[in-house]
Amino acid sequence: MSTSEAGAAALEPHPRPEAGAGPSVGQIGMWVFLATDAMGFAGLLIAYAVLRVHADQWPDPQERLAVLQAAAMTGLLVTSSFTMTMTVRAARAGRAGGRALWHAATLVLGAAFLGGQALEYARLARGMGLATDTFASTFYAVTGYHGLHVLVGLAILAGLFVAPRVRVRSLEVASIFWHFVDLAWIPIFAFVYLLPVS
Amino acid sequence: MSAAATDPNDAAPQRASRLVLALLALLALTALEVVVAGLPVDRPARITALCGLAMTEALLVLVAFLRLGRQARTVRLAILAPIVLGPAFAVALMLDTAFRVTQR
Repeated sequence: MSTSEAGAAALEPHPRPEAGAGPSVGQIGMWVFLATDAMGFAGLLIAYAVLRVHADQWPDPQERLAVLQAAAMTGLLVTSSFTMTMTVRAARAGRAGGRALWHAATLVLGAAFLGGQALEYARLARGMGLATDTFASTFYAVTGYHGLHVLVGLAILAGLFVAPRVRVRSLEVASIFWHFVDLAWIPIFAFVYLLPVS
Repeated sequence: MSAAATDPNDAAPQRASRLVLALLALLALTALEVVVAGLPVDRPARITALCGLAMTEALLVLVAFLRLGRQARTVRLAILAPIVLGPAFAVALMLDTAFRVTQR
């Protein structure tokens, strides 16, 4: 089965719930998971802020990090949220071809984001290790935690892409997770990459 | 809570043009953040502007893509509380530091 064939796999339209019926178990589970996961991100950001406040010296992130590259990565992730939304819309409308196209675009954009992060780590690793200083430790912890989310999201989306039959509900649940990954990156980009020290 | 109220992407389908507008706004806000970070103005002003831009971006993702407005109130609260409180606390710490530094 070729990749395009996999992407255009048969869509199983979920039966529309009757009025008054509750949300799917998958959706409830995903929202609950995201509520707890958001607290994980919040905890990391708070730890970052506390360490930064109490540090005697804090390097200028713009001198160490590739801010423009990170901005481009932000653009990729935001655009992937858009393509994910279009994927679900196409799936709902029963347009298997359109869904495969948008789905593939989401995968490519997500992979490009991860590729950008890998390049950045490779560049930074030459002079900034995990234990170089507090800035390095918090940077790798926060961005690495987010990167793992992107990786998991990509694995889920890739699994749905190659699956012979895809339920629209599954795509909807996956899209909630993917939008959350996008959402979580926004404060990371602002706080870790852009917040000035002087 | 109806089933439609839990769908992030559809229910009453959004027009594609609105999604494109949201995407363009998000890209513009990201570019604006980079510009603001490099402006030769006071640090507290830049921090405040950056936080405002980041929160606007986050709100846009929540409303346009996650369609938070269509979720049940409990879901909205469960999602918004950690998302808003975490960064808000971090911002408060940053502003507090800036204030203490200027008082020295």
